[in-house]
Amino acid sequence: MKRYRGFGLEIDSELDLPAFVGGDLTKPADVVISLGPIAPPNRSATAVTRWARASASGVWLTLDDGELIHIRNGNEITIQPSSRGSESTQRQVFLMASGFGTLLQQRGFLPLHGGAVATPSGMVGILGVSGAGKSTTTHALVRHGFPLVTDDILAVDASGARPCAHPAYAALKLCGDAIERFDPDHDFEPVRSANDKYRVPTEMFATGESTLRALYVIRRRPNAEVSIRPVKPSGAFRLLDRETFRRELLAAQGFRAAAFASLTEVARSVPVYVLNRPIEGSSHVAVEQAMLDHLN
Amino acid sequence: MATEQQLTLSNSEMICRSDDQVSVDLDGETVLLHTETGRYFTMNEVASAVWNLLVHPMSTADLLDGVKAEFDPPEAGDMSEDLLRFLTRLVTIGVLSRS
Repeated sequence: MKRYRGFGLEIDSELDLPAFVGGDLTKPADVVISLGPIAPPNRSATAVTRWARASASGVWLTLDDGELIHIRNGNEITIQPSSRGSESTQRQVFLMASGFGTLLQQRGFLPLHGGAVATPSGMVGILGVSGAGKSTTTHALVRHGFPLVTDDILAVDASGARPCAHPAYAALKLCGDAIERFDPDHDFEPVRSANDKYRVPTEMFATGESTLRALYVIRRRPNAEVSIRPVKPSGAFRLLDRETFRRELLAAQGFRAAAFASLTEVARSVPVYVLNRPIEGSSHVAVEQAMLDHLN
Repeated sequence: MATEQQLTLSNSEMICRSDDQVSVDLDGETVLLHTETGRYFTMNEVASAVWNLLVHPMSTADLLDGVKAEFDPPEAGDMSEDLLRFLTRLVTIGVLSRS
């Protein structure tokens, strides 16, 4: 077993989890990740996608080669390799995305799709659909001195007085062209089965939980000028619902009401902005500048 | 499943918020969860004001009086029709019950 720390959780794992930092062995484990046999989904489980089944007893993910991942109780992830016994090439990607996304839902977090950095006055989340430029923008902010909080999944805890989040993934997944803009001689490890994505470790990693200062939702629009505008709470609710990580799995596990409570709390108490950028051409420099101006 | 015809509300019927919903006011606009289907709905400020009047069970006629008092509309006749259409829609969605 190895000990890792992410999302404010102490994680014991039989597998290497290079995206997390090391944990504290003097503390009890909150989550255990192990290899072993898995009971198949029960009859009441809903087929949520081609590869995911869910019920109140957890979520089962089926990988391409037959490997199974079962996430349950918010504290247990079990991986059953295929009958061939070899490790699935999709394992890390599924584990770190849908696997942890589901586990966080089971623990009552609201996982949002995006990255985040830390600022002296709280964490700043960068959200948006795939291809919006979340990781590239997050990476740009890290280069300007804001410690990285997470990439891909921002797990919001909306149960306290103010919504807050914990540092999670200590590495960014960047597109090849995004890396070359910053570091043409890179030698980063490719993320398995993610097209042209590389894992970029960062030394600038945030420590400790913090309240959310603001959330930015990046949207690409035809011929849009790069601009940032505030969104009123009801609009923020709709936007954040769309940016909720694997929201179809939330519903199938019976967490819709809990997610609704978290969404309304975040929409009410955290400033939400839309960052518009054009679909066409290269606008990353303007986006970076707009974000820095807005944060300073 | 009741048909649209059966659901059309009359002017004196008693209505109340359904037990199958949770609503939250966000700066004067209501967001709603229909717990049975898991669907979300958002209401604009006018619809939210009507929803806020529905804290207790009341007749559609009393609700109309309340809405008139709140908005002071120039043509109350049109308002009544719009209001009944809106309430019928809420019943269809499942967030409003006829009691």
